[in-house]
Order: sequence, then C-alpha cells, then structure tokens
Amino acid sequence: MAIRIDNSADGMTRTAGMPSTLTNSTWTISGWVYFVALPGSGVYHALFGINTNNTVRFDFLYVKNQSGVTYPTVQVDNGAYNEVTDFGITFSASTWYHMALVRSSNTSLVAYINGTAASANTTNQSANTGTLRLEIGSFAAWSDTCSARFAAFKHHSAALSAAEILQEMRTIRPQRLANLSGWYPMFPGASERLVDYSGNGQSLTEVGTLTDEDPPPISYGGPSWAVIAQGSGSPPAADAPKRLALLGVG
Amino acid sequence: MASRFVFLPYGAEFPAASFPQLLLSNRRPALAFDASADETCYWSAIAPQGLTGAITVVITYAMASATTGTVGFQAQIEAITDGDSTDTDATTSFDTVNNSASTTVPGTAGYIDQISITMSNADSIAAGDYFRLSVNRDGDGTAITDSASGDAYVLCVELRDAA
Repeated sequence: MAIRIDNSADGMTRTAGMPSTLTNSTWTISGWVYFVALPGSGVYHALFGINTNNTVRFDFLYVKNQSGVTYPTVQVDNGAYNEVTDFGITFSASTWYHMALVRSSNTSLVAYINGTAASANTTNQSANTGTLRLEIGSFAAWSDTCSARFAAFKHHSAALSAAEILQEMRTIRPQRLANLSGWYPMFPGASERLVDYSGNGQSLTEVGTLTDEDPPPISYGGPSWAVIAQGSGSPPAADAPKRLALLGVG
Repeated sequence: MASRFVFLPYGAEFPAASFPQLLLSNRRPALAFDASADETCYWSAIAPQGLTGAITVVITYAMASATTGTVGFQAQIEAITDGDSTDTDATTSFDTVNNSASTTVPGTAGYIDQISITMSNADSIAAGDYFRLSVNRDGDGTAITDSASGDAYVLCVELRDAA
C-alpha cells in the first residue's frame, strides 16, 4: 500500500476542500516517503505541497542534491520565490521517512522529517490567492517529479503540533480526527489507492500511470479482541450457560 | 473459562523488513503473505485470567490466485511475566517456532481455509503475561512444503486455549 512515482508525468492532485487562499490558512500534510532514487547533483525532486497549478504562488516540500548530498528544502512563492534548506538533515535511498509540512501562520512553513522540525521558511504568504490544489509526488507546473513511494498520507486543515505529528507517524489511521480534510491509506488498486477515507469524499486524482509497491512497516492502528466465555458451576460444565465478555483493546 | 483472542489485520504490528502487505480483498482487510519469502507480523496482548492448557492458533486465509499446491504457516509466542529479565527495548525472546501442516489450498481462489497450529512451544505463557504472537508464512519452504503460488491473504488469526 504505497504509491510509486517514477515518471515526470506521474503525480496525485486534489482541488476539492482546499483553502480558498494560501493567505491566513493553516494546514498540515503528512505521510511516508521512500526514495527509490535520490536526485542527481544540482537537481530538485518535488514531494508534496499546495500550489495553484502554476509556477508561482505555492508552499511545497522538495529535496535537493547539493554537492552530492540530498537535503530537505521548504519552498514558498508569494510572487517571489524563496527556499530554505536544512543542511542538518540528509536522506538516503531505499529508506522510509515520515514527512510533514505544516503551515501554522503566514510567516511559518515548517517541514518535519521523522518528527524533527527542519528549518522554517518565514516568507510571508499574506498576498496569495488563487484556486489551490494539493499535489503529491510532483509539481507539474514546474515539470518537477521524483522517484519515490508515498504511503499513508493525511491532510489536516489545521497546523498540527510537533507532538501530534509524532503520533501521526506511528499509524496509518489518523490519530487526530479534528480538522481531518483527507486521509489516504493508499491501499493497492487502480482506484483504491486514491480514495479518501476521511469521510469527506475528497479523493485524489491520478496523473500519469501510478503503481503499487511495498509500504512502510507501520501498523494500521486497529484493535485486537479478546473473547472470554465462562460457564456456571465449578468447574463450568461443558453445556452450562455461557456469559460472554467482549473486550476491544486499542 | 475459555479464552479466545481474535487478531485482525488492522491490529498487526510489523518488523522493520519482510512483512506482509496490508490491503483490502473485496473490501475485507487482509495481510498478503508472499509465496517465495518469509514475511512476519505480530500482535500484542495480555494473557487473560483463566488461560489454561494447550494453546492453538487458527489462521483463516484465502489464496489470492492459487487453486493448487500447499501452504505452511508458522507461529511463535513471546510471553513476558512481571519480573522477567527481558529488556523489551533491546531484545526479543520468542519461543521455538511451531509449524502448521503443509496444507492443500482451496480449489477456488478466494475460498477460505483455516489452518490450526498447536503451540507446543508457547514460552510458558501464563495468565497476566504480556505476550506477542508472531505469524509468518513459510514462503521459502525451509520447514514446511509451501508450493502454492501467489499471495496468501490472512483474514483473521485466533488464539485459543484448551478450555
């Protein structure tokens, strides 16, 4: 249950239920990313974010290769482009990373990598309007792509705290249901992989040809059940009336 | 007092590598175990009061595509009693693996079958123990002949005691 992006024509988008403007909107996009291949020297790979399907006015998380090492890059364009790269975080291929991008105010866009905050981009988004869309695995307007798998994505229309992001890392199902705008377990299947399980009916749209690959080793986060039946008598007779106690755990 | 644990795909826990994929089979949650390599998952629980006698694990599965051949599953228990010197953040201590029989799969893919594994090695599990159940398909056939092609979809795992 992970979606493979391996072509510049591949990606996932959604326009339903998006904020009307980048200005004064708070949100969090989070999920798991596995780099099948890292970008080449000087190359940027687009991961996910919100844009206007245009080359300007966006909030996006990229990775870039600088001098042979791949770093996270938080990009904000409010009519002028600005990027902030965290040189203290590096990526390896064939490894799963939990990533989150949090817009908590007009002047704060922060990426979290495995629960640790990367450098914040404080470029002011106060001037931005336009029809917004969520885009995962590509930035089509820039023809930017990546070679990666994506799994268990969630979109909240609120800025999650660092502690909440740590909670969301450990299960496929959301831990925070408040402000849940989209939840994409990405079960395998041509249409199934795009389905929104949040109840909002805001499924993703496939761009290009997506395929399914192996997921990260995280639990769905469901319960186990114990069924204990006790008959009367001591010891209980085999045909004695039974009392059932159903216990859901989790 | 009969004790039954019903472990569902959504509650499975996974090792860092070589684990079954969680998917939906006709909207039913299932764990897809590969045909050629061993894949493992776990469930955790507390052994209930009244747990007694021999433990049996019953695996309900259906084949994704195979209509011939056999499958084999293995199960292990790691039971930790209050006061045991098991460092849970550094080690695992599963008892010796218990093997199912090499079982002929249903003649129609999607039909369920239930395989029982007698847990002769149950790590001396006792009421109140924190325990984990490990389940894997012997995809590489090292202990059990597993010749059926394609994934085996595990739909449910039940742990029963002797009562």
